[in-house]
Amino acid sequence: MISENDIRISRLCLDMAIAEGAGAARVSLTKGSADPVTMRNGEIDKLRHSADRSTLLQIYMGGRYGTFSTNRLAEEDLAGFVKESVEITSMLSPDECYGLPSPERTAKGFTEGSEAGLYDPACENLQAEEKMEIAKGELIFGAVAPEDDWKLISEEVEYGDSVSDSYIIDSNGFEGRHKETSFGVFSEVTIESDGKILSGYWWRNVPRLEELERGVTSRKALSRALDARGPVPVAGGRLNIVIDNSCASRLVSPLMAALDGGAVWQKSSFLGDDLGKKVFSENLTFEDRPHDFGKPGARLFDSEGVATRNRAIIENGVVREFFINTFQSAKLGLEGTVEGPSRLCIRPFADGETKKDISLQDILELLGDGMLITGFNGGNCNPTTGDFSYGVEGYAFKDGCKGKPFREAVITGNMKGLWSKFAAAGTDIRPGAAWNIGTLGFRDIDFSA
Amino acid sequence: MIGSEKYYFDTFKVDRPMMDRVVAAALSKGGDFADLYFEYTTYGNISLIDGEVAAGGHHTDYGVGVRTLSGEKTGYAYAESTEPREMLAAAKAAALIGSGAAGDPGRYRVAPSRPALDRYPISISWRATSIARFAPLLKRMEEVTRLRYAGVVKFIARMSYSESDVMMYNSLGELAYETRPIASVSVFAILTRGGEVIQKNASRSFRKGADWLLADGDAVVRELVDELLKGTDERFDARRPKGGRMSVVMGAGASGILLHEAMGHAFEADFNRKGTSIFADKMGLQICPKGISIVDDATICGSRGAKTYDDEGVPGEKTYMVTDGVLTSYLHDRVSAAYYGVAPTGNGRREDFRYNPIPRMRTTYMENGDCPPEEIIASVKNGVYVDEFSNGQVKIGEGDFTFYVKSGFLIEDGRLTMPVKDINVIGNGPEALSSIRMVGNDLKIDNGTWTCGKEQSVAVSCGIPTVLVENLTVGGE
Repeated sequence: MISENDIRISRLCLDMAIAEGAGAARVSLTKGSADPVTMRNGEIDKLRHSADRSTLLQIYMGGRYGTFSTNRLAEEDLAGFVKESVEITSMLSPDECYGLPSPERTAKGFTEGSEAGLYDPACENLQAEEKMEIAKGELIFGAVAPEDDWKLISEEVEYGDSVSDSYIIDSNGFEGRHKETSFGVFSEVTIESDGKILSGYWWRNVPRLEELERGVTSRKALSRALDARGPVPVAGGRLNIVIDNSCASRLVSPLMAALDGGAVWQKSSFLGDDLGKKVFSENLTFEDRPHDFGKPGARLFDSEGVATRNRAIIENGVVREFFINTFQSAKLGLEGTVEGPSRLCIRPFADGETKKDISLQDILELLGDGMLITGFNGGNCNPTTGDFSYGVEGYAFKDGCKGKPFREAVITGNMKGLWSKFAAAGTDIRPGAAWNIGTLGFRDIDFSA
Repeated sequence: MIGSEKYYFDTFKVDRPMMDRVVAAALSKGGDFADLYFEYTTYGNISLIDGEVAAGGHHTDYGVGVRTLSGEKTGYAYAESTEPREMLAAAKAAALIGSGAAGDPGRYRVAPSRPALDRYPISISWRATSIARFAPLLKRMEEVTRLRYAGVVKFIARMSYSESDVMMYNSLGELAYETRPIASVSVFAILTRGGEVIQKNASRSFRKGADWLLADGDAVVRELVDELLKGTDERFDARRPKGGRMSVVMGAGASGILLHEAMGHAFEADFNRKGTSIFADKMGLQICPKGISIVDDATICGSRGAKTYDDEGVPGEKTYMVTDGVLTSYLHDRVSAAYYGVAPTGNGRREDFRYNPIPRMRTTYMENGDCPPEEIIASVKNGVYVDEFSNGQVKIGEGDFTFYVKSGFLIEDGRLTMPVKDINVIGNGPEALSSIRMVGNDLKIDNGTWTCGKEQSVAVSCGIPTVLVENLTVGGE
C-alpha cells in the first residue's frame, strides 16, 4: 500500500519541518483499506469501499510540542501544512519533558512491514464475488426452520477484510514500517419469542484468510439468542463468578488502564503507588508477548518507534511494569517502557496450579455453584479508586452445570479485591484475539439482581 | 453559517457538470438515487497541563463520499481528494449495489422542502482565530479552581474546535451547503480531602463561532468551575447504598442521556425498518402515560444537536416521536422515509465523509410536565435521586439498559439524604417509559460534550425535566 513515493513524501515532510525550525520531528504515515459486504435476510444490503491515508506530524522545538495531521498529501499542500504546524508549535509553552526517545531505545531494521508476520497477501487478490460467497456461507436465513416458540426476525452478516500499513520516521534516525491484514465475519441474529425480541451476535476475526473458520457465526449468534429465552429472577449475594471468553477482557481493561503511564502521572490510577508491590493473587501473571511473530497483536515497535520485547507486566501478583512513553518517563522519573500492551497473555491457572488445557466446563466444575457471565451491559470502573459496578447477564450454574439465564444484574467491588479472589484462567482463547484472555473465574464476588 | 455557492464550489474544486458526471457514474448500474457529500474540516486543540498550555495541534480532513441507493440497499465509497478521476472511481465502486435494471428516481424524492434556517451563525470564524488566544482562558480556569478549592491534586483543561465546510448534491439535482462550527471546553480535576481522592470533570460544547469564547470567556470560566466544584463534599461522603427495586428520580438536565440511550435509539427508523426495535409495530399506539411528549430537535440554535441541514441535505426540524404518550414518528433518513412512505425528518447523519448516513438523534429531550421538582422528590418514600448518569448501555431489541450513576442521593421519606456512588440503575426502556409517574416543569437541556457512538460518532445533546420512574433495579451492596 505504502509506495516509494509515499515514503519520499514522508521524508520530505520531516525535512521541511526541520528546515522550518523544528528541533526534532516525527512523521507517521498510515494507509488503510477495507471492503466490507453486509447481507441482511439473505440478500446483499450494503457494499462499502474505503481507502484512507493520513500523515501525522509531531514537532518538538525548544521543549514545545505540537501534533498535526492532514490527509492532503500533495506536495503543494504539504509546504503550507508544515509551515503552519511549526508556527502553532512556537506559540505553545515549553515543557522540557517533551522529546523523541533516544536512538538506543528505538527498533532497528524493520522497514519491510511484514516482519511481525501479520500480513497475508491473500487480501490483494480477493475478488468481490469471493467476499460475498464467504458472507453467504454464514447465512442461516431460510435454512433454519423456526419452531413454535420463536421466529427469526432478522439476520445480518458482514464479511470484511482490511489492510493497515504504517510507516514512521523521526529526526533521530528511526525508521520503521508495520503492516497487517484482518479478515472477519460478524453475525447478528434477532428472534421473537413469547412476544419479546431477543438478539445474539458472534464474530471471528483473524490475520490470515486461511484461518477464518466458515459457516459458524450466524449459528452461534442464533444459539446465543435462543439461550437467552426465559430468564428467571436470581438471588444476589457473595457468589462465585465465571466470565466466559467472549467478554472476559472487560475485567482486564481497567488493570491495563491503571498501568498506563499517563494515568499514573495524572494521579488517576489505583495502581499508581504499587510498582514492585504484590497487590493481587499469587496466581496472577500477565505477560506482554509482542515478539510472538505471526500471532495477533505482534509488533516490533510502538508509535514512538521504541523497540518492544516480551516481558512480565504482573508476575505472581506483583506489579512489574507500567506502560511509560518518553514524556511520561521524564515526568515520573521512571525508565521508559512502551506505550501499551500489544499481545497480552494471562497465565492459565486452575485449582491451585498451572495447567495446559483449562476449559469453561473445567472452571464451572472447579467453582461448583455461581453465576456464569456471558455479557456486560453498562457500568463503570473508577480509575482512581478501582471501585467498579458492571451490569451483567448470563446463566446461573450449579454443581458445575449451566442453568437458566438471568438478566438485569450487577457485580460490584474493587479491582484489587477482585483480582485477589482470582481462581482460574482458561486456555480457551478466542482465535484472532490480540489479548489472550480465556474464561476467568473468581470467588466471593458481590452480585445483586 | 451558509456561505455563497461559489465559495463551496471553489473549496471543493468542482462545478455542477462535474458533479452530474459523478452522480451518473454512481447510477451507472441502475440504482434509484445517488448523492455526494463533500467535506473540508479543520480541527484545532490546546491543553493546559501542570499550569502550562504545553500541548496543541491542528488537523485537516478533506474528501467526498459517494452513495448509491437501490431500494433499501446501499453502496458507499469515498475519495480523499476531489480530483475527477478519484471521485469517478469511488462512484463506480458505490454503483456496484445497483441491480442492473433501470432505477426508480421518484422513490427518494422528498416532500416539498422546508426552508433551511441557519442554526449556527458565526460572527468570528475559528479558522481566522489563532488558538493561542484561548490559552489565558484555560489558565484562568485553573487559577479560579485553585482559589476556590485547596485540595486540587491535578488540573487539566482542554479547548478544541472544528469548522467544516459541507456541500451535498444528489441525483434529484438538489444542492445544499453550509459551514458547521463546533467547539468544546472541558476541565478535569483530581481533588483530595483527608487522604481520599475523587475525580471530577465538567464541559461545555456548542455549535458557535470563536465569538462564543472571545465574548463570553469569563462566563464560561465561572460556569465550568461552578459545575466542577459543585457537590464536592457530597462526593467525598458518598457511599454505595443497599440495592434493590425502588423509585428513581432523574434530575433535570444531564440525566436525559438515559432518555437518549434507553428510548431514543429504539425510535430510530433503521432499527424499526429491520424489525429489531421494540417499537417496530407500535406506531400510533399509546406507549407511555398521557402527558408525556418526547422530542428530537435540530432547531435549538447553537446546540451540539442543532442542524441547518442533516447530512443528506434535508433541512433540520423538530420531530415529535411521542406526543401525549402516543408513538407518532420514527427518526428517518432518506432510506427509511422512502420505505415508510413519509418525508425524511432530517435525521440522516454521519461522522464524516467516510461514512454513509444513518438515522441518528440530534437534541433529544422530554417536554415539560406540570409538577414542581420538590413535589416529585417529596412523593418518594424510598428511592434514589440521580443528578447525572455515565457509561450507559442499551440492547436495542430487548430494551434492557444499565446506567452508572455518576452523582446522586438516596431519597428517604421524601428528602434527599445520603450521597451515593458506584451504583447502576438497571431496567427496560419500554417498561421504564410506561412506569413514569410524574414529570417536572423544569426542563433543562444539558450543554456538555455529548457524543453518540452508534456505528459512528456524532455530536448530540440531551435534556429532561425532573422525572419519577417507579420500580427500577438499583444495583448496590
